This record gives sequence, structure tokens and C-alpha cells, in this order.
Amino acid sequence: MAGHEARTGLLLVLPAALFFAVFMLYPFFSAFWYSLTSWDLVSPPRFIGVTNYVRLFQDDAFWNSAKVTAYYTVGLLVPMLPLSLALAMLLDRKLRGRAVYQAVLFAPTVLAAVVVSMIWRVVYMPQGGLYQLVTAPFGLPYIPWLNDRHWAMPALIIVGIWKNVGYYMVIFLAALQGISPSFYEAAKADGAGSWQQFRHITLPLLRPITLFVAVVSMTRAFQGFTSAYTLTGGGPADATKLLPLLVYEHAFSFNEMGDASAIAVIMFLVLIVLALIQFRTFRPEA
Amino acid sequence: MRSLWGALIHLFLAAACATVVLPLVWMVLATLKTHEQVFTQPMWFIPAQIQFGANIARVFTLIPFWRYFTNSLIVATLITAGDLFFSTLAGFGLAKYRFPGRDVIFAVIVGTMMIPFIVIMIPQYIIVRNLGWIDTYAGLTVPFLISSFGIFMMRQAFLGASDDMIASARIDGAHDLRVLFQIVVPLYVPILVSLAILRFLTEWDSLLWPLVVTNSDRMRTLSLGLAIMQNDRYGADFPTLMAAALMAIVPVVVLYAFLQRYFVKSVASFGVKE
Amino acid sequence: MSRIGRRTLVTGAVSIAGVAAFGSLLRDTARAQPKTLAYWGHNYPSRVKIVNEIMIPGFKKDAAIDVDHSVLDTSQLEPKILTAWVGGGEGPDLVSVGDYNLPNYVYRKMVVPVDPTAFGLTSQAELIALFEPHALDGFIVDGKLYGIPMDQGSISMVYRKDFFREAGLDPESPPKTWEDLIEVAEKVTKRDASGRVTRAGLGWEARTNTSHFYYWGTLLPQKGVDFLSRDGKTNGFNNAAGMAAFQYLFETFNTWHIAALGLAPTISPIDDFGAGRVAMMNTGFWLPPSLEAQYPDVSYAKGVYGVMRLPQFKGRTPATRLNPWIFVVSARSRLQREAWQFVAYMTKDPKSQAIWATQAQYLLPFKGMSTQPDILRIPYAKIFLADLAIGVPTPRTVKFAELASSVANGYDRISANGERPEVVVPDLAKQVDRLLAE
Repeated sequence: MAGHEARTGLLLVLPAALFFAVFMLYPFFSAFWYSLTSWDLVSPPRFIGVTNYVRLFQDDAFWNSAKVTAYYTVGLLVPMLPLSLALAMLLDRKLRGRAVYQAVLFAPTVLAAVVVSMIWRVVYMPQGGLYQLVTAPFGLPYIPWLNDRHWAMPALIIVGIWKNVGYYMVIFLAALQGISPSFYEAAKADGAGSWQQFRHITLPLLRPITLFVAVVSMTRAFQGFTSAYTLTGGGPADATKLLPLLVYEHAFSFNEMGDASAIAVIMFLVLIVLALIQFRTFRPEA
Repeated sequence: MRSLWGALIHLFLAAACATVVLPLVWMVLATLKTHEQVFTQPMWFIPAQIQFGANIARVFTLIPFWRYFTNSLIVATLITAGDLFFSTLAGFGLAKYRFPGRDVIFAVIVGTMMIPFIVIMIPQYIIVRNLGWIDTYAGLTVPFLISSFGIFMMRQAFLGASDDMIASARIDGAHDLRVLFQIVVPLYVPILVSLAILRFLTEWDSLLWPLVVTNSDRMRTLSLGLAIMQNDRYGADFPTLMAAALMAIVPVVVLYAFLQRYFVKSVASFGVKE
Repeated sequence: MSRIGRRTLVTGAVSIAGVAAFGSLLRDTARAQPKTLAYWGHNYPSRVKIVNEIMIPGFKKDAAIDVDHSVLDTSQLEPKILTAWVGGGEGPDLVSVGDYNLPNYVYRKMVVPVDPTAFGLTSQAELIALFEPHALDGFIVDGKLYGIPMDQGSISMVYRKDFFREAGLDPESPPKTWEDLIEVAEKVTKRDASGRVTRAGLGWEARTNTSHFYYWGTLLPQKGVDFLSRDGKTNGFNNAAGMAAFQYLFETFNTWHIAALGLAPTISPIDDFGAGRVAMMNTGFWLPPSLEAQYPDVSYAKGVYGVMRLPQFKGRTPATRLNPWIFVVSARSRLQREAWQFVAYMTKDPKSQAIWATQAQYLLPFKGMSTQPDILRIPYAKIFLADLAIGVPTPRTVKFAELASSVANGYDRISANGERPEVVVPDLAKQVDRLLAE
């Protein structure tokens, strides 16, 4: 009996296990190996030890991309997460038209990222773009968004927020709806105001989901490729040259596979560290 | 006081909705105009001669839109179907069977969720290249066929499946695959639908991998084709780009309008405590 | 119990076999059949039309060989060629591509020398003798000829006569020097109420990495230097002449404001010139047909625009950039001879040359080209031919992609960021030296 169960179980899992071995684990370890080589895809890879890493750490382009990626990640998460939480809280009420609000705010999530970039490219048109509806009243009738090194990154961040805030809003909303109203009732009976309820009930109970959202959104932002590639191509003057774009350029324009792998490995290590930090920060209270 | 607060909330939410809707309206309006009118006229301007038909027609002269669309459809469907199928199999095996190494395998699979795509992209490209799968559906789909997330979800779900029910089905003579697909799975259709929607949307959206793995126009996916089209030096003006964008999102928007609840639920399921 | 287990195994094995078979079927249907030439070219509409409507059917009748013609966006063409040719034999047999990556292709043994027998000749020397003297110099590496030109690509300038007239300038005497151009450009530049440029007097249309070399990149050879030193081992512009060239570029954006970015987020020089967003623009002979096809009102015959020699710097040896596009054949191709036969079919016959010259305005530098009546019939052909004579090739290096990327970055810093050449040039020089040394 046990033998049969074991065999069947293994068979059920086998395709997936094999798949992961071939398409996930093997590539994962290969990436580390490639990063220690110089390889232009024509001649066989040549082992050069940590030379790629040393060269990268002295490369201005690498540090620029690292800085730009950090700017994008932080610049995206800091406005977007509180905003999505705020929207979720507003929707977590008996509100007329709530379903409509939710449907509309979530809609950008289902649109393809490339299409979103195309639409926003026209929104950001310096002359006659839609953005003027918002900025003209503030005395800024003309902003060369995608051509200006100061505005290009905010432009990207705005698009990122627009596309993703509904996604995280829905996650937070589901979590909020999972909080039993009895908690709030008890607190209100004790005389707690809205702000205190928020601080002492909502926030702590949201910790696990906040951790999840923080890690997921950070990972996604860190690896953001599509909107930068389609909206700015990394420019102007590499002001939006996110690390994934640098990896792509080194791999497929310069054919330096080892170099590109080294950048990817560095990204991975940074992500792990950041994720660990977030796990510690949002650790559910003992 | 209360109604003031309520009014403010509605105002805020309405403003948020406006920021979502306005760019889309802008896109639609742009498809009605000529290139110059988009630049020079105010947004709400609608020309006497509506260019919609001409702009749509122009898209087809510039890119093989239906070919791109079909490619995306095939790729996303294959991947979604594969993901559902193998996640169900593996999730069931991990949840309901005991065998040596089971927990290790599960831990490794979950661990791979933390591997960012950018790290494995180049090695996967090399593998695909060595298999001769560059510029083929195989190259576009196989490396993404199974997701650790899908396995994780299904395993968690199947953990809650009643052992008694499974045992009694076995006693009745059903063998394992039948138990799985005919008895257990029907109880978990909502989760499978959620998974399917999420996976399909992700793959429909995907740009980097098709960019890396395809060379010829014939095999491009819609996202890739549109991305290249908007970099086109020789012919894509704004109304044409917006017409292409419109055509690309209409199917999704229509689906969303009808099935919105399922879309939202699939994402919301993250927020629910396990 | 074991019966059930076996059935599961069998089902599993059959489905895996089925998937594998299906997968290889997909693979085969996606790949071209043997004896079909795979040819990749860029998405220039006139070229695409000629190849699809004239060359491919004609060659099929002539030699009974099918050609599978893939059209790639210009910015995608080179990365895709590079990665396809180092891939597992999936790449194209024949490509038409800018000549700047030829050193790279040869160095990596990705291309093969031209096969003279495909042209009906017995030796390379005979083949070279078919062309104008020195026309093929840029395509010869280590004594072997690797490419046949599709377009020799000299750079001159087009200008909007209607804007000249509007500004009270004589449309028949455009500026001959960069110094004279400043004043003219200022007169035809239009600004809106807030001082923003809505029509640039001078259009530096460099948007893809490689295009920098033939737009503002002509300024360097015109000052007697270039991006690379003569031996190709270090940068060639970190000196007074180079600085002067970059200074001119800087001032077009930041001092005289005759050039501007972001006039339109699409990146089409045809659109910018045809829609009147730029008044003067570097270009090759290939521009007018596409321009007039898209903007029928902007017509040479009606005097809406004119063609002029590329402006030069006062007191300097005149020069312009050559931007040839060439046919090269893959070293991994199993149809190399057939590929060169197709090239011969497309280029050798004077009738074909006339087609390229009149419909795409590509100049195939065969002997006697400059006296061909079909070409001379085009009113402004003489200007491009004259500039062809003073053309300087694009810098030659194996690391061209990296060079182009650095140059683009330098240009962005000057044009978009407004950084001064005194800062940008040394940085760029350092980057170039470093990438050449690796």
C-alpha cells in the first residue's frame, strides 16, 4: 500500500519536479557559473573568476543603473502602497457605488503593460498631452516628460502607480474584509477613536498581508522592464536605465553573457537581502 | 458632519476613477483624429471627418495584427493550460501522498518562487537556443509551462480536501487520476479559475521573454509587436498607435466587463488568510 | 493496484511522447523549408516593396529559389542578427544591414567572403573592378571582400523651401557652411508664446544608437577628427578640434536654440520633416521617395523642399559621412552560393540598379553609376553624388555596439541634460578608450 502510494505520489510530482530541475534550478546555478566567465556566445565560455564583478563595481554605467533602480523601486512603493491601502479602507465600507469604484480602479491591472505605455506616451506628449489638464492649473503648461532627465523617472513612476494601485488595493481590501468587526466594536466600546482603531487593530492585523504586498511589489518593481523599455528606452542619458535594461543590453546588444549574468546575480543577492529585511520589519508579533 | 465626510470620500474615489478613465478616453479620442489634430487641437476636439476607419486600417498595413494576436493567444493559452494541469497533478501529489523527499521537493519548489526571472533569463535563453527552439512556440511556452506559485496554491487547496471522500472513492474502485480529476478537482474550480486568469494575464502581458526568444515577425506576440511598432521610425503616428492599442485591449476590457468579479477575486485571494 | 499504476505510467509515457512530437512539429512548421533563402532586412518601406514585389518573384522565376523575407525594425535588426548568428543555425542566410558591424561579424567568423562565381566572375579582383574605385574599400577585411553594397549612403541635407520663403530667405541659396547656417536656422525656427521651440531650424534626428554617426556625427570628420583615432585604438576627439565639434552641437541646443528635442515622441525623421517640425535635416538619398509618399504636399517638384550639400566648417577640408548598407551572408548558411546569387540578381543588372535608384533612391556604386541617365534624371542626384565623393566611413571597431551606446549617452547629456562639452567630452573619451582596450 505504502509502496503504491509513494510511487503514485512521485509520479504525480515528477513532471513538475523535472521541469523545475531543468528550467529553474539548472539555469539558476548556471547563472552563477556564467557570471564567472567571459562569453560572447561564439567561442566557448572562458573562466575569468570574479573579473566581471570587479569591472562592474568600477563601471559608472552599472552604478547609475543601480541608483536609478533604487530610485524607481522606492519612488514607486512609497506613494503606491499607502495609496492602495487608503483606497482599500475607503472601499471597506457600506458605500454606494462601491462595486463600480472597485471595478474601475482595478481595471488598469488587466491592461497589457505595453498598451499602458503606449497610451501614456501620448498622455506625456509635451505639446498637447493630456497631462496638461492637471498641470496647467498649477502654472506648468509644458513638461518635456520623456526627454528630460528630471521628469523621465517621475513619468515612469506615475505610470507604475496608475497600473498597479488597483491590484494592491484589492489585496488589502480582501484582508481588511477578513478582520472581524467585533474587534472594532470592542475597541469602540472602550472609547477608542478611528485613528486609534487604525493603529492598534487594523495595522497589526494587516501585518502579514503588508509583508506579502511589500515583498511582491518590491520584487516586481526591481525587475521592471516593460514600461522603461517602451516609454523611454532607458533614456534620456540613461536616466531611466533600470538594471534589467542593462542586463538585456549587455546580453543581447554587446553579447557579453558573463557580464550580464553578473549583473543579474548581483540583483538577486540584493533582492534576497531586501526581502529578508522586510521579513524582519513586518514580522508578525510573537 | 457625517455627510460631509461621506461626500469627501466619494469625491476622492471619483477623482481616482477619473485618473483611470481619462487616459483611456484620451486614447479613444485620439483614434478619431489625424496626427496633426492630436498635437494641435484640445483634447475634446472631435473632427468633422472622423479618421477612425482610416487609422484602424492603417494598423493592418503596418503590422500583421491578427498574427500577433493569435500568437499571444496560443502562447498564453498553452501556458495557462499547462500550468493548471501540472499544478493540479503536482499539488495533489504533494498534498495527499506520502513519499520520500516530498517535503524537500515542496520546499525547493516554493523556494524557486524567490528566484527572479532576470537571473535565469540568460541561461534559459541558452537552453532554448541549444534545443533549437528560438523563434518557435515551444521556445515561447515551455520554459514557463509550470509555475511554483500554481503548485503552491493547489497544494494548499488540496490539503483541505476531505481524506474520507478520497478514501471512499478509492474503495469504489476509482484509480488515482480519476479520483483527482473527477472527484476532487470539481470542488476547486474557483481556485483554478483564479489561477487561470492570473496566469493568462501575466503571459498576455509578457514582453521581455518574447523579445529575447523571437527573431522573426511571424512569431511575435502582441505585446512585442506593439512595443516595436511604437518605436517604428517609418510610419506609426499617434492615432495609428492608439488604434492599435484600442484593438489590443478591447477583448480584454470586454471580458473584464463581464467577468470582473472573477478577475478581482483571483487577486483578492492573496489577501485572504490561509 | 499494480494494474492501475501501470496504466498511469502508460498514459504518462504516451502523453509525453505526444507532446514531444507535437513540439517538434511546431518547430518544423515554424522553420523555413530547405532551398528557401532566409533574408532579413530593415523596415524601410521602399526597400520592402522592391524586394517583395520585384526581386523575390523575379529571382524565383530566374533561379527557382524561394526567398523568405523577414522585415525587422531598424533598431532591432542588429541585435537580432547578432544573436541569431551565434545561435544554433536558426539565423538568416542573407541580411542587408548597416556596414558598421562588419568588423564584428568578420572577427566572430559569422560571415563569409563574397562568392565571385555567383556574379558570373572568376575572381574577387574582377568583382571589385565592376565598382567605382575605392567604393568597396570599407567592406574589405584582411584582403577579402565581405559585403556588397545595397546603398552607398552619402549624407547631404534637405531643407524646407517654404519656410525659407516665409522667413524672407532665398530658397535657392541655402547655407553652405555651419557658421552661416546658424543665422538661417534662427530665422526659420518657430517658437510659441513661452519661448518653446515648435519648429526646429535644424533637426538632429539621432534616435537610434547608430544614427548618431551620420547626423551630428558628421561634425567630427568635418573638423578633421573622428570618434576613433586613425589606428582605431583610442578615441580621436579629445582634442581642440573634437571639442569644437561638440561645442557646435551643444550650442545648437543650448545657445542658439535652433535644435530641440521632444517635438514629437515618435521617432520618424520623415514625419518631423514632412509635418514641418524641422526646417533643415541631414539625410541620405533614400529619404525623398518615402517622404513624398507619406506627405504628398511636401513635394520637390513643387518647390516645397530642396536638397543642399551638407554644410561644412569654414576653412576645413569638406567631408560627409557615408552610411552604406550592405548585403552579407552567414557563415552558417547552407545556401551561401544561392544567397550571393540573389544579391547578384538584385544588384548586378543595370536594370535592377535603375529600380533601386528610382524607387528607393539607393545608390549602388557600380562603375559608371554617376553617369547613369536614370539617376541623373533625378534633379538632386548630383548633390548626393558630389557628397558621395567626400564621404568618410563610419568608425570601424569590433566593439561598435558599445561605442554607439556610449556616443548616444554623450549626446543625451549634451542635448537633453544641457551638460557642457568640457565635462562630457573627457568622460566620453574615457569610456571609449576603456571599451577599446578590453
